[in-house]
Amino acid sequence: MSCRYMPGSTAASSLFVSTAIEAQVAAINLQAPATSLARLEYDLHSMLLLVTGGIFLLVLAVMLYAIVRHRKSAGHAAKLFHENTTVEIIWTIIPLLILLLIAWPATQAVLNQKSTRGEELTIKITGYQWKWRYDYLDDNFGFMSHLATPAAAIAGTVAKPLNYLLEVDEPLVVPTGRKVRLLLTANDVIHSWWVPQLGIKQDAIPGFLRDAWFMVDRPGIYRGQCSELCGKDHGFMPIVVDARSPEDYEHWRAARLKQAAASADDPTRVWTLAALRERGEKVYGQNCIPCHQANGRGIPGSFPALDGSPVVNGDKAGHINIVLNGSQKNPAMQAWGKQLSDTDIAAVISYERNAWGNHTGQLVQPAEIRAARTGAAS
Amino acid sequence: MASGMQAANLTLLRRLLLLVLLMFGFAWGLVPLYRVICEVTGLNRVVVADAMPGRDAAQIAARPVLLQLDAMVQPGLPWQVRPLQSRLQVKTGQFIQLQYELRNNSRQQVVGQAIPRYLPAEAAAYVKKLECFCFRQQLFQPGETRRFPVVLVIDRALPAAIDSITLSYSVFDVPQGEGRP
Amino acid sequence: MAIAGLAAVPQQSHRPHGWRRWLFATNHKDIGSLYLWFAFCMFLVGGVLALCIRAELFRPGLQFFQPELFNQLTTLHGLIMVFGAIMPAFTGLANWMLPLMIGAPDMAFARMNNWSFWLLPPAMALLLLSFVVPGGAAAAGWTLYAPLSVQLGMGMDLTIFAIHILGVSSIMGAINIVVTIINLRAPGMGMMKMPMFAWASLITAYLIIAVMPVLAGAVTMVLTDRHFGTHFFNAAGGGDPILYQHVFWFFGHPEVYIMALPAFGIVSQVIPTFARKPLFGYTSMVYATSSIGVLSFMVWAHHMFVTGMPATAQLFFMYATMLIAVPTGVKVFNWIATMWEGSMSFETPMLFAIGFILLFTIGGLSGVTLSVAAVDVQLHGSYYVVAHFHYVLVAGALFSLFSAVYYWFPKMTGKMYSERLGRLHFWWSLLWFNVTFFPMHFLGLAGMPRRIPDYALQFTQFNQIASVGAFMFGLGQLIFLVNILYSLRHGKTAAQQPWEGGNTLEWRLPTPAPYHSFSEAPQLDVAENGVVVAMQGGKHG
Repeated sequence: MSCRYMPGSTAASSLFVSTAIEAQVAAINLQAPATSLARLEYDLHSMLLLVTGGIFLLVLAVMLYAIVRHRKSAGHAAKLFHENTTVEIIWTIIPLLILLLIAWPATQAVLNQKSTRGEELTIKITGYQWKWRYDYLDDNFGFMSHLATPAAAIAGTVAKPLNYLLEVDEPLVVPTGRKVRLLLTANDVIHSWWVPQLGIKQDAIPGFLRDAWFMVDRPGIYRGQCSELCGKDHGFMPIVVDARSPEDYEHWRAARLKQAAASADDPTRVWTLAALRERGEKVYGQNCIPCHQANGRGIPGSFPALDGSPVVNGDKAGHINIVLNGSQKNPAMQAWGKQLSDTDIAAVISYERNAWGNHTGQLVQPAEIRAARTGAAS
Repeated sequence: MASGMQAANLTLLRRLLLLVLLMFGFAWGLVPLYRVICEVTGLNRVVVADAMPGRDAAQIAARPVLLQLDAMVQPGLPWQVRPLQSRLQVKTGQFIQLQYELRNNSRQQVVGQAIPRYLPAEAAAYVKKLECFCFRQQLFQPGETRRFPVVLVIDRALPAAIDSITLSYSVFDVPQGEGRP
Repeated sequence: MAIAGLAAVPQQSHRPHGWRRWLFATNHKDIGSLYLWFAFCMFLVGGVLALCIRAELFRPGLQFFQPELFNQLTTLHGLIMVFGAIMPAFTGLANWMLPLMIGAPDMAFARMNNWSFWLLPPAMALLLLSFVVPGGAAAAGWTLYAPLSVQLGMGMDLTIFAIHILGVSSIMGAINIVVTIINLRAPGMGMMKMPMFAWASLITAYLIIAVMPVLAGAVTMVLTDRHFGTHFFNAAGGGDPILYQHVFWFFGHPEVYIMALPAFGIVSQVIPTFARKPLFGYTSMVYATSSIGVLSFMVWAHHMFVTGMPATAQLFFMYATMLIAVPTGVKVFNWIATMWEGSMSFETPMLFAIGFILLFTIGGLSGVTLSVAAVDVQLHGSYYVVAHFHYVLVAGALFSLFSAVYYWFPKMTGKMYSERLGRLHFWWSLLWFNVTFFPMHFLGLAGMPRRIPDYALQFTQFNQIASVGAFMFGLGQLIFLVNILYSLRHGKTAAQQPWEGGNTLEWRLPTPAPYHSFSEAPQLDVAENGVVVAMQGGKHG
């Protein structure tokens, strides 16, 4: 059975107050709103449900009456009227009036969504195939956010955790009670950032910038998913927003800033092959597995094999170039130079050149990657 | 079928085929039409120098605006672009000078064209750029890094509803020999 | 020989027999039958793809298909159902019935009609072939958004070629319908007298002529972006992915009315027949259908509410979309007014027509909900949309097609279908359709995105219900197949007038309709909706 709860894997998430719908609940309405925007949408939908439900029941009632009473088997003879201008006008005007009544609050809601005044925090969100990147523009740090559900859970060999497919390694942390402005774009194809409880869905379009805003009422974890088909792992790039009190947010922010300064890898450090391979395997696992697969064999016809690949086993420069700058021939191969540090790229290339059936014995130092970026490499 | 009837059928057929061709042409015509509509509505501004804001604008009181700066480069392109400032608290009517740094990461000469994007989109009409590296295509040698100034003024007539503007440049390649797209 | 129950070709004619009769068919009845059989086969193929999808979605986790294959399944399911099943089925019915209903000897361009049909099998073969090429079939959804469609493998190119071929086929078919209706009506069959099915087919044909070329333009731009260095949809070259959406949906929205209007036309024939009462408000039905056709060009961006368009644009498209509900509502009320005070009997065609009215209304109302842009923010790209369009396309278009086939089966074949099996088919389909698709409203509201092969645990129950419903619904379509096949061979001989209330021109013909009908046009005295008061002359054979 697929709905087992595995306490161990959710120990961390159980520390957070979760307003997300728990497993096994068959929800029939919108999720509980956590912003004024979401509340507006919720109420508007409730009104629409009432109106449309009422109209349907009316239509059903009239029809059922006719079916029961105006049937030949009940001996009813047909009355041959077939026009009535007054009645036609009435049932044109009344729906029009109902629509006007709906249009008024609907218009207010649309205008409300667009107001991005007075924001206190700006975050740039970039959609990638198949993960999100969050950049805190005011503070100059950022990070990637990947699906954290293990592949084994997806394959069904281990039990699925409570927040299956809705958990990430690095959530987007925001303060409650402050207006947060989002700038959205994408790196490759169109994605869409959707967090139901925040009431936001905004397409992320490559080459263009879009914006949205929210202000969260209360601390909690809010989960969402990409909602524009973006390739094979469209269903596997969730969003987690961790809203904290302003004080907690400040603590997190300070720690983060310190971490960003400290963890900047020294690009001149000289690594051993073993250390590079260990680091590279991690980088590979986080970024390359969806296409090139854990066994390095890729998917024939779609994603080339790295195991035994002429690029991986050949000239280092060619291998570095394709990882740094992407492939013109196969646009699905991204320019990782923009997403990964020199050290990470050096590590993953070193890993690939010595993994599976590849035994080049070669390694690549971060300094070589740095030189390759500026075109100064030989 | 009577020949008169056949003639009538063929006439109508010809008209309908013409409609088909017109609609096919219309689809292609949507490409420049879309660009024109975006420019006219200010959603994608034409990249030329703006005139200074008019004198009457000087009568309106200046007010503070938050200007945020950003850059985007398309995957597969060898550019690295970054604003040297990320946010500035400015006033409408004030001359603002910014700097952007661009680098050509490849081993070839590249010609680049920057296109500005504004958020909110309505702000585009009020950001008057007096000097910008986006006015011209820029030729870069392999590995070259350059800094460019951007001088702009935010028109005092900026609607009160807008109190923060994001300016983001998207840089892309111009194949050698091509005119501006 | 009696293929598809049709009268044998007259021996003294020089018409081809055997396989040549079908390959070189120019008779509108033969071509209509080809379309209908082809459409039903493609319906089964598209249905199998749907069952693959529902099998994978029965439980969380990936059980049967890798995500890239799953995306191919959803894409091809959509393309095949839209272009291979629904559109050819309506074209087939139009081919069969329009000349009979307006007193024409055949379609205006009989040879072009042949090409219209025979382009379809190769186009569909291309689509199905794309599953086995490197990289598999197109996997960007039937909407083929750029830049994803520009990125994918050669299956996308095959799909683009297939779409071009399908477009040419549809356009030729539409031209044929327009010219036939405008020019070939028998004397007395005025435009404001002709049956609603003819009006619906005419307006639909105009829509096809107007928008299929736009789709051709859109996919050609994708093709050139893929292979010929253009940048229509690539920001790096100065293009814009949103441009694709505008061009596509300029086609795409009228396309869904192309699939809805003929359904309206059919229901407007069936209800009066079984209510034994004239259609209520014929003139306003014509105006309502026309205004839906016109309005359909003005609402396309309601598919794009979350792309980041300015508020004014969102409001315009919201208002325009809400407005379409008015003429659609008028039609629903007119059908009910036709039933009202009638003398109804509930044979299978009537059951499907009534089911259509109720369920299409649900689909229309969920459409009104979606049209409110602020609510669409929560519903776009979710299973709520999947629920909405399946209500209008399955319970809408498909049910009307079943209604039409049962309705005109006696006229086409000279045999009666089994009423018991027909009723079983209806009730079975009605039940399992709702079991499959109603829960999808809840899934969308609860936050489940569409086009995903795996989902979070809280969506499990409704997905399981939907999957069970889908398999049962699929099974029920075999009832229809069995009924048709059995009745063709062993059905009771149909009376010349199988339906007491059938009073449009086709019911005046012998049953089954002769191979060549109205070789000489009759003189007609016609009341509204094609009801024939008196007929003089007209030769058959």
